[in-house]
Amino acid sequence: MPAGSSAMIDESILHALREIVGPEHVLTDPEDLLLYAYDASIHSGRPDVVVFPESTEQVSRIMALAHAHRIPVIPRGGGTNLSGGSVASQGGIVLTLSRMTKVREIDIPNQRAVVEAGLYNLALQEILAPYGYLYAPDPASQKVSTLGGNVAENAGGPHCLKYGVTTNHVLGLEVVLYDGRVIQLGGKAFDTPGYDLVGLLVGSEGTLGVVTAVTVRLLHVPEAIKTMLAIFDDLDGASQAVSDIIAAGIVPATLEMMDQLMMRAVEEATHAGYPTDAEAVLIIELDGLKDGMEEIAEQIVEICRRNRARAVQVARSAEERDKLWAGRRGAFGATGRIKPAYLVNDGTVPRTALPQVLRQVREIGQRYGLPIGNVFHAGDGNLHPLILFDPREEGILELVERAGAEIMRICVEAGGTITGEHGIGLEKIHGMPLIASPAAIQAMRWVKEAFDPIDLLNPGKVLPQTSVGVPS
Amino acid sequence: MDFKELLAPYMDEMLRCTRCGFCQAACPTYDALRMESAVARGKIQLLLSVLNGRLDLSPKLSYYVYRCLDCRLCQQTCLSGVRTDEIFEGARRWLAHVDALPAPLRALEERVFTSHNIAGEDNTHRTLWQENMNLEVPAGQPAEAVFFVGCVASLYPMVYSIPQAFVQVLQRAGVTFTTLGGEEWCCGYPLISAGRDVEPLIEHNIRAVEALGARWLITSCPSCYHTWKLKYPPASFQVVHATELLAALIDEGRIVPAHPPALRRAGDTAGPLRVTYHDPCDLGRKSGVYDAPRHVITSLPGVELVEMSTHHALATCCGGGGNLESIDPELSAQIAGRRLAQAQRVKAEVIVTACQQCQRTLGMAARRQRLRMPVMDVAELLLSTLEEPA
Repeated sequence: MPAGSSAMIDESILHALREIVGPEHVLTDPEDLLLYAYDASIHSGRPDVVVFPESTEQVSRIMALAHAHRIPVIPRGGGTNLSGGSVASQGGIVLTLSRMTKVREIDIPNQRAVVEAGLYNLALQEILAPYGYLYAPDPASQKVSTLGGNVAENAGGPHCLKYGVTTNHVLGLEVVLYDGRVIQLGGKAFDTPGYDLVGLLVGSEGTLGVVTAVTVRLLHVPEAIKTMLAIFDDLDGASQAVSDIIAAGIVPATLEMMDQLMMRAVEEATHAGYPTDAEAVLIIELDGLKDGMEEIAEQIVEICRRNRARAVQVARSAEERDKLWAGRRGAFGATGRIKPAYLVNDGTVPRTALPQVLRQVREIGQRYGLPIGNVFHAGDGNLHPLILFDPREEGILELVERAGAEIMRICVEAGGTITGEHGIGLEKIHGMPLIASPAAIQAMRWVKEAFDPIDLLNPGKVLPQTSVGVPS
Repeated sequence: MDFKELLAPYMDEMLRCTRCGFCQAACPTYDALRMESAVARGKIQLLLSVLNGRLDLSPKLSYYVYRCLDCRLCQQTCLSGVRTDEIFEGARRWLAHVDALPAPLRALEERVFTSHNIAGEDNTHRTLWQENMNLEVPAGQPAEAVFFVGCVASLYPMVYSIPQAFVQVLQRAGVTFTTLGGEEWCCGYPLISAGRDVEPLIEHNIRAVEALGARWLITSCPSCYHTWKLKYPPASFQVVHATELLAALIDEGRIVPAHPPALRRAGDTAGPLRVTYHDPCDLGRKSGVYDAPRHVITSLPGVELVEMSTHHALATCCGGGGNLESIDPELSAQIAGRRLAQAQRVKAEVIVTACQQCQRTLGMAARRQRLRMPVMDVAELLLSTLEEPA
């Protein structure tokens, strides 16, 4: 049975919500609903009410209420989602976890931390730094994206090339189920018996449960870091270098690529020292033990030279390195300097296919007459072509979406997939059949129905609306 | 008539916001409230909705626009370089034009235009801070330098100590100056910030200073400084911040800080006094003065300057910026508490600033927290080093 419509949120429900979280944490005015109708994607959808719980118990009571009245619930963290995953496309309750920021436990001897879902990724890093530890997943949005959101999207980040993505660092979850029951999945131990429900929940985009707390794995800050900027006059050379570095068996901590269009925006924003006359750069960072690092760096320099790199510069100080990263992490935000809006693809392709796929992306941009910038996790083959546009131009959105769909298709054709870390959300829902067979989508739907049989949690996301049966 | 055309010129600038949400990390108001209405991204989306006809003018919209420190850290850190200063100034002009000022600001406006000061007091009370001083402070005398005291320092006893210390230093340095006494009118900052035109105030103040043949206008108030320097039309005299003058007087040897400040209590640790400097937004980020106050502090014997986690162009506001204290005093105090926490984290013994509003806001927050950390002006710290402690 489908969840209820907005008409079901009447004064008695609002009263009940106010009882749970306090009247100042229930918003219904048109100004407030508008403020929670968007995220960092091009999608929007107005909720009927926005609530700000501060404890798992409050989340549980809200879910029980929503369940009793069949009201959709859309969990939200920092609102930085890039695929429309946190907008209320069907109305309902936007459940904002921004007040749930407690650090429940830092267990350094066992290299674990338990934190609430609303804590920013960077806030966790800052808490861990004095201990000499870090949490490896580092999405570019880390200073404003929450750990709950990172879990929902299975967020990656530059350093995930070496260390793996969110799912490799989350060991336990506290989850509020669709009917308000609270369950603990996994914990501090490495593996738990039974099905890997932690693995299932990570990346489920808020459709299976509301994550309220996360148990994460901590890593020691590496002994040494070396950050290099390889400068190329042609995109092909840069992407071939990526492929060659990986093929040589080298696993740098990061292997990021940025093209000229993005460098121009980023340089204007951050003055990090990116060469705006070059076609592309690679940001290559090595970390680990000091011993042997120089030799690996030399090997990388040699591979870059062989692929016609104009120069390979080394960051001479932590400040220089931080500046390069500030530029890289801020790249999406800086596109406003070129065009007011962007649609970002997130396709992942085998690294050997990078040169060819990048050429195809460029060709699509030319064919549609749309500027496309590239800044992405090249080492992972995780592209982020940003199609830049001005939404005020007549018919432009349709054009952008068509170009976006073509990019998804070429990624799949190259043996890749349609999203590396930004999620399916609303944006890529039509692309799901490209990567999952009807039977596979059916299997996913069974999972959804097992966790949320009345489609309360973030409805309309991830799974395309196809006629599927219930498992018998 | 909704006069939305007053907002229209900012449409392009607003559209440059990509909604990345990075301003959440910068905004002290968001940090305290954790609600989208606080942050630049949210305010911009609201204003765009007004322009697109999806949202009507309402008291809540006005409240959200004005509930802002005007500290501009969002602009400083925006990757797309969105000019939030222009957008929000435009929005406030629009709201003022359609008479949508929140009640506390309307009351403030009334006070300033009738009494010529923000407190609504008889304007002759501006000289009360001079009483009980062993020093004659000239008013309305022809002089090369006019000391423009500012409303807060003149009328709020908690910070009388700032002009008191400053004039004592000037006297020791042999600087001849005058004040405008009761002829000093509010510079207009809070009303400009609210979106109002303040021509009568500007004209009066410029005339009053020019009438004394002054070559310099010196002010210890960063908001007055910013307003005189950037909002007033160019005048025949130069506008100088107190800290710039103090730094020059030290460099010229006209004042010699010879003694460590006597601020230590019994039982305190030995070694230099750990002082942190809080950059006032109007002086630092909005006017570009960062070095002069630090130069004064580092010239003092027995003092060690330590920076907080945010400083210079990235310094966090004290909570007293813009008109936030009028709109939401509780929120202002909460933000001040967070800035104090930054000072505590670097184990500062004293917070030095160069703004009477910052000093009030941080000082009140320290008092609320029963925190034994003095908050003082650069001039006060300097004065304490000029003579042997008793």
